[in-house]
Amino acid sequence: MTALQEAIGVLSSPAGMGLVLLGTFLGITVGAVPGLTGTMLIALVLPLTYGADPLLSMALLISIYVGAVSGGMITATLLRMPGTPASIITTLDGYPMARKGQPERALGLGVMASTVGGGISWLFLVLLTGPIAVLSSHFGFFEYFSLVTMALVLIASVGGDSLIRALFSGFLGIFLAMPGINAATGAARLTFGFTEMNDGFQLLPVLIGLFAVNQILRDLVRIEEKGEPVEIGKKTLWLGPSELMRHGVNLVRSSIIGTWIGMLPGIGANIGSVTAYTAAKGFSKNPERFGTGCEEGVVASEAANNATIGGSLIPLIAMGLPGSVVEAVLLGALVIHGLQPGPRLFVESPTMVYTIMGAMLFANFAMALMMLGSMRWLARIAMIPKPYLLPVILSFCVIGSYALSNRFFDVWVMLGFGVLGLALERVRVPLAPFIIGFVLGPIAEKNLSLGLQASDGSLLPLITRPLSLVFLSLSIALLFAPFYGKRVKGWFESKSVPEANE
Amino acid sequence: MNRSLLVWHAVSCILILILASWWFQQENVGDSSLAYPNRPIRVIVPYAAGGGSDTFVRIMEQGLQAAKGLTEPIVIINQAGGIGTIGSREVKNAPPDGYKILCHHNAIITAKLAGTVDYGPEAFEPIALTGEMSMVVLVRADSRIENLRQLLEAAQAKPKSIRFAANKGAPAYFSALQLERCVPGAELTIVSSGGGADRYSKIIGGHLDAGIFSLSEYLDFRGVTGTPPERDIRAIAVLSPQRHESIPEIPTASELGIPVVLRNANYWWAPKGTPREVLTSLASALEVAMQQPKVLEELNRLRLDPTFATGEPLRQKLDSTVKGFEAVAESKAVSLPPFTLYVGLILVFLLICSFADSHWSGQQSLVEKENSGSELVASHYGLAVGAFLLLMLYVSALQMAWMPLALAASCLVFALGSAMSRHTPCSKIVLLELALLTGFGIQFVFTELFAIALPT
Repeated sequence: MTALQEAIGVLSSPAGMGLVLLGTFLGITVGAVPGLTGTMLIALVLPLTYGADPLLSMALLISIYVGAVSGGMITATLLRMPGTPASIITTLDGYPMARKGQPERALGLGVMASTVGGGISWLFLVLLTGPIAVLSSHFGFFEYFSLVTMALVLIASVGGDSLIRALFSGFLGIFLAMPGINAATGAARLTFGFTEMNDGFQLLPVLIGLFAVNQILRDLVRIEEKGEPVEIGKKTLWLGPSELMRHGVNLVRSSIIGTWIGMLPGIGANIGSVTAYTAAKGFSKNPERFGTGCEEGVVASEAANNATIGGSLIPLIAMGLPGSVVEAVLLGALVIHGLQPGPRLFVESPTMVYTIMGAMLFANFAMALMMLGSMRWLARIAMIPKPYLLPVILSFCVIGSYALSNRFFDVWVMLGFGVLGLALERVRVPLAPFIIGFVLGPIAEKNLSLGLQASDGSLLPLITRPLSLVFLSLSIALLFAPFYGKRVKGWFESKSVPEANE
Repeated sequence: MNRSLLVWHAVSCILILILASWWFQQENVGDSSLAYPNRPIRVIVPYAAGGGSDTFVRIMEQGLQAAKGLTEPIVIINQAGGIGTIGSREVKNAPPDGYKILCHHNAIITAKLAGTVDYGPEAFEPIALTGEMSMVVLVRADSRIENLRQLLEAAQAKPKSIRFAANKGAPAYFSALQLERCVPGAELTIVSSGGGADRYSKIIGGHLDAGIFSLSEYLDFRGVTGTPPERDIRAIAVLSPQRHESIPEIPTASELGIPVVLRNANYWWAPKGTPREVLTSLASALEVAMQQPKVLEELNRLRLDPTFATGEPLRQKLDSTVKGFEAVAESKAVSLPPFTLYVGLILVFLLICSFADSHWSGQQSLVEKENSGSELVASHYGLAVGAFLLLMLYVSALQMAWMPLALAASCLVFALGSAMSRHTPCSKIVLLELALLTGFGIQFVFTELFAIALPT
């Protein structure tokens, strides 16, 4: 039986299908509820999958991812509260459309765009992952280090409204990933004598703290804040193929932008939708209509944010480099199940690669059908009273952190990072660069350390190896571009990039 | 009352009744007056679920169950981290009653020699050795190096020219040092390069020249016949006393006059001071489990040789292994730049910059005011602070075992929900049902469906 058949078998088994449908549904739900994010759910579901089959676990996590990116549009359109950061841009035109009495049409366009965006990026995922994986086996320690450095600079330069604060956040992430036993030397560092610290801070409690606990505490502070919900009527959300043709160019362009942005390590779905929205506005004959309930705006934003999923899975599978916070969790999930993403994954577990790809496609269609079929119901779930929801999630945060390695240390780490996240966001330091630094920092350090061991202490290969030189030069160019060119800076600011949470 | 609410009440009450009765049954097992073992035995695996050690212990769990050597089941607890030292310390500090034991391989010896921790095998009572893995040295298939002696001679002729994959502090690292010793003047460049898949891709990519792999890694990674040599690997020696039946063509290191033996054995350990009869009953249960046909079949699939040792032979074997590693223990220091210092300095620099930035640019602070303003309007800080304190109380209650998880979680959900309901009205009855469902549900889902050991 070939790996492809096996993957199809897994996904078409009752358990596989059930989990993909469940994951998509849960994803849409958490995506739709403001204050809950896909990252949160994936981080909380991960401990549940420790003992389960790796293929089914990944199928579940991927479908949650697909659902969560899509579900955000429901409340973005009906409540003017983006359910996830990925759909911030959708509120700009989706809510005005809904207010003008076209909520069904706005949601219908969103579903169509999401499905097409997901589909196009899936094609890129299938076509590009293999070749990139082969290419990456030529990467040595120094190339990896330079590539990761570039990714770190990239996230910092577009990750927030202030380059310095984004860089600070990234470096804080790198620094807080350092305690524990150093892989390269085998010695413990920055543990201050606490043996509990020998393993440092684990990604999962850090994530749950920064994103779930922090977010819930913020929700508690703003518990009385409510939007003005727009009711949806009985009209169908289904839009015929003629609409598909009408928005065809915008759909394809936004999907390609989304895929490309997704592929860049460290940048999440919200940046993808901002970029596509800006591009759509630029190409439009009447850009002044953007922001007042313009169909192209909804289409661009939703196509692009779903397209980032396929794009960001490419570097994850091919090189083991996470493209966003969700990818960082997925990377952790693969490693926990004993699989190291990268060129080996294709040889060692092609079934896993096909299962991830298949699950994405399957979840994409499941998402479309669920959204089209049960939007009214989904919209009601999104308005569940907070007193029912938040305490339950908090108790899951605690048990999820504990289950990672059966230690209360991790639970306290989670609580600590919850407060840290709250404090950082209070002074407008974005959290996404923190997580990317936290994940990529150790990868960069490990590769540099090993490169130095292999080269006997010489740093020269960093600039004598051509690929490494290219990546490093690009990083330097990216880092200083905002300072040199006022125009470049103006371009970054004009997009009014929202705080990157996803 | 509307219909959907009625359905909710009915469903949740039934579920709560079922879960609560399941929970009471669970709570009332175990009678401490009976002989050992009278409650489940916790086995700490100091590595993540799904890894080699974990897979091995799960096979043994099935064997123990099938053989019925113990009257109580074992519960596997993964405590990964710190190259196995997080889990080993947990068992070292556990009460010596035989209810918390450790399954760990040779890294328990090397962790002390490498200076990661200050205790080694002497801090435990060895119970038994179950299963050993052969290790091989391998190179890329198109390498000019034909055998292990040639590899070391190349390292002798041109010191540091061979980049050798072995993780610092791990057993393989010490074996690499032993290898160097065998040919005077030979010097390898030892690179810590992570897990098997990482090392493999670095050897295939030509970034490393050779490395030590486990036999099962070698057999898994080896390409099918016809793979071009530059994309394949080739074993040049087995670090065992005899050749291995699955690769009879590969010579042992000793045959080439290099007396280095490295076999990664799985040992079971109990805390120091555990009664002798407890150790014997555990050892004999493991011995019977090792003979189960199912276990033998699974071990063969993992390429683990089903060796077993306990008592005096085990102690002798441990002693000789420790001596072998100790002989090369003055390990070479790895000189690396002080990365922590660099990152710390950059961090301080950025902190100063961001302060300066927000002071000087008036435009930015305007944006800030606008944003923080909207947060200040809705001020229920008391609620958030209270919730956080409640959460800390909850975690302390679990850690100190003041009350069972199911009850503590129910209380947390109900208390927090009630506090919130002052601001957003909701039904107290629904909240109570939800709280009980969450409490019992968490316990059920984690222990029954996912077999994760929860705090007790």
